[in-house]
Amino acid sequence: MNSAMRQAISEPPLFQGHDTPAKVLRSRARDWAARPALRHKRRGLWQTLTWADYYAQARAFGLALRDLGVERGEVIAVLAENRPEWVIADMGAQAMGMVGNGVYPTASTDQLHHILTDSACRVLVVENQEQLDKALAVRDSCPALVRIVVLDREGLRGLSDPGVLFWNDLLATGDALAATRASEFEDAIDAGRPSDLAFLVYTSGTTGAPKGAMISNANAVFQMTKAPEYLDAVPGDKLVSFLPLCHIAERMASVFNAIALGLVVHFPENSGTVAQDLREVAPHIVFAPPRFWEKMHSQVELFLRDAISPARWVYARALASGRAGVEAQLDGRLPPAPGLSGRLLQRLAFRNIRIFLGLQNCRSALTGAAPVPPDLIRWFLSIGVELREAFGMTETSGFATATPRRGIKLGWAGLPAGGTALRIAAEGEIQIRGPNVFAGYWKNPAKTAETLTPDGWLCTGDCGEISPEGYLAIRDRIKDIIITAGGKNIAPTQIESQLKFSPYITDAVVIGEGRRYVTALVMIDLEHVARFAQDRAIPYTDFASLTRSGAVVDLIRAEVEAVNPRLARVEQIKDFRIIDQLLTAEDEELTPTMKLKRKVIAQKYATLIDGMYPA
Amino acid sequence: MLLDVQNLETWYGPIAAMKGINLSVSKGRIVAVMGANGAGKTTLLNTLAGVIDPFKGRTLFEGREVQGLDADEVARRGLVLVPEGRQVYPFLSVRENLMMGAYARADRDAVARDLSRVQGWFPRLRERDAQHAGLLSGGEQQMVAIGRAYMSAPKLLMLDEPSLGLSPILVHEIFGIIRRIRDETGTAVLVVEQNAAIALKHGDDGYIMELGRIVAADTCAALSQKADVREAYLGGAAQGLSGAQRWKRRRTWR
Repeated sequence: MNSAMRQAISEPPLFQGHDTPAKVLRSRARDWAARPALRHKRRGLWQTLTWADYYAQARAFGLALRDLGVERGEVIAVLAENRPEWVIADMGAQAMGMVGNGVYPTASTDQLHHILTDSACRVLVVENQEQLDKALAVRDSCPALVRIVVLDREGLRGLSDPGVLFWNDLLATGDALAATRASEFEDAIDAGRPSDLAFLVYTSGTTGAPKGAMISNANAVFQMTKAPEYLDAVPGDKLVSFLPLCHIAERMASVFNAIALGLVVHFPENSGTVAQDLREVAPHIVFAPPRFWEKMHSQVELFLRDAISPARWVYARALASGRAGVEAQLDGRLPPAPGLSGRLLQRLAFRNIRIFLGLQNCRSALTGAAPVPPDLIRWFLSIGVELREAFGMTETSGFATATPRRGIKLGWAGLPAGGTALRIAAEGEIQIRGPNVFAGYWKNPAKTAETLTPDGWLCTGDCGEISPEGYLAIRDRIKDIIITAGGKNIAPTQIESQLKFSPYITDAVVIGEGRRYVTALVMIDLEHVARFAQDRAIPYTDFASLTRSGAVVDLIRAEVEAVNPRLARVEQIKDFRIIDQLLTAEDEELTPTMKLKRKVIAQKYATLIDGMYPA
Repeated sequence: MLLDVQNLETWYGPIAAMKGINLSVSKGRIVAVMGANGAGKTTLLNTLAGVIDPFKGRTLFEGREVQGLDADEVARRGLVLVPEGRQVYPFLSVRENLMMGAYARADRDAVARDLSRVQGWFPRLRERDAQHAGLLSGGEQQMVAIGRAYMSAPKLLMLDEPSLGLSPILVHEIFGIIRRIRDETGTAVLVVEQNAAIALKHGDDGYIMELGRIVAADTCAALSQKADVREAYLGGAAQGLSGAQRWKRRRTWR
């Protein structure tokens, strides 16, 4: 047992007097019974579940699980896009003392098989026929799995399989049990201990098989106590749940922060309607990786390129007049009061942009999980959205540092959460200690020992520095640092993030390990580049021909050359190649969050890379 | 190159039916454009034939721009459309229908030669020479429509869904004749088809359209090897373990 866990047990964090998330949920269901908790858009209409509904369904699911023979400490998993049933299943299991888990909907059958067998999963909740097919393909080699529960019946009405149940039927069973055995559920919640596991998060694992990070009740409750520190929210504020719930950030936001702060979690109709749903819901809290905010920015830029010229004029003038204020804000000075015309311009341009993006109510805008280009923060500040950087990882149960309100320092990811400690160890590695540090890897003591020092410090694998004010800056993953043939150390992620700021570049991988100079492989943004080609009458047919078009290569070269002056000489990108295949999250080259995997890319495109280094 | 289409873009009100289409047809080739309903295939042919004016883009036919010309002028240049659903003149005889295709031609000898050619390809039309075209079967009407188009001495024959409503045997017959026309006269063919299996079998080059964009372009032989094409168009989808597969995989057309 590591000391972080020991500490959690000796003085467990309490949230409003409760030491497990399930206990907090129960008191929410009592206090806020009739208030909305979860909303889901179905066939264009928002359907609302109240806190009482949430609790009742979680109870039905939890009791039904017990009825199926699932015991405390055993794992259940959900393989679905974000939807209310996801969080209901998760909380229902946790309340019964079982361990929740999630599998990415894009997971291959091999990945699913690994996660199910590694976690000895007892019950798997799948979204629909597509996911059921994956589960059926692997169930024979998952001995612990007793049932598969399907959410959507579509296409499966004729199915009769003793190992497969439908969600509605299971919930009906659970409701019937609740009529006589509701106390079992209450007792199970009371029996929950801070040191019990709340859920598992399988890390996507760029090397080796995914590992299950164990998050304890104490970890989750500690993060709940911290939520009011970095989020400016009141009960009833809205949130849109659109990032994968298997990821620690969305899990904390949509499940635990929502319970802690009383947020109404909105689930989009599907992943294609997110932009529209954001506009409609106008959430008060938005957390998303930089890529998402970049998309918002380029959407506005490209939209205005097609706008009538007065609109473009107003936008350009308003941006220019806002810039002075932004620089002052960043220096910690009071922004100069804009004149009447400036205020009018900004109101005219930026209010509409915020409404267009659905950010008009947003009081807490946060980003993290990847380096944030400074220009992105500047742009959002000028349109009146305070986009704050945070840092966290699965192993810190979510946020470890966050930028306080009115405390943005460009390039820095904020201050550590109160009650936790940060230090820089050998090789510049960032290490963290505190109640947010996870409980280790599931059934993997060797990996756990590599990650947690005996005295409770978490080795993050990131290198960075700490400013005199206590702000943390992340440089890169230690293992990703490139050492060129000239012996120079280069942090590729920083360079890549600058490239990705271009609307035409979705992602890039910087190459240079043991090479004479630095190059890059670039993944283009199909939508924006296709539009560029069409606007300039550049002929192309399919994706590959688009990437080979001279004008597109020139376009990307210009984007690369725009970044180069901001880099040190040794970091400058001397050559690049465009990846000529359209990649999707199902491809091994991409993580479920659509990031290029450095190692796989370097292997798969070795000839393309070697072509950039003539002998 | 006979036909060179560059960045064609067409809007129906607020909806973009074609979002930048590029394709080319070389002399003597059969080029197939495939795609599901609403992909923009018919819009493409109607735009090429001058029925619709494009919002953007160019169409070069034998190196000269033809976009924006009237349909009759386009046809006179040798770009001839066989419209979807045949559209024969029901109350004219078969021969009159065929001769309508030669309406703009003055070279009587060549017209007579072409008529006997058409009757050679479609012996049924010779049999039904004097019958009202409206009384013919669907397959025979399709023959009339193709024959009529050939009578206007096309350099490029554009066919919109020739397989529509025809039996599988007739579809094969029609495509066989399309190939014969190309082999015997060197006429290039641009055919739009939902029946991808047949189009890939008989075509030389192929394009796949989805929602107003070309998503794949290659020779038909290469296209029919692509997994996504096989699954989406050639019925190669694996049956799911839970029964008939109702979900769609994301396609990348590799």
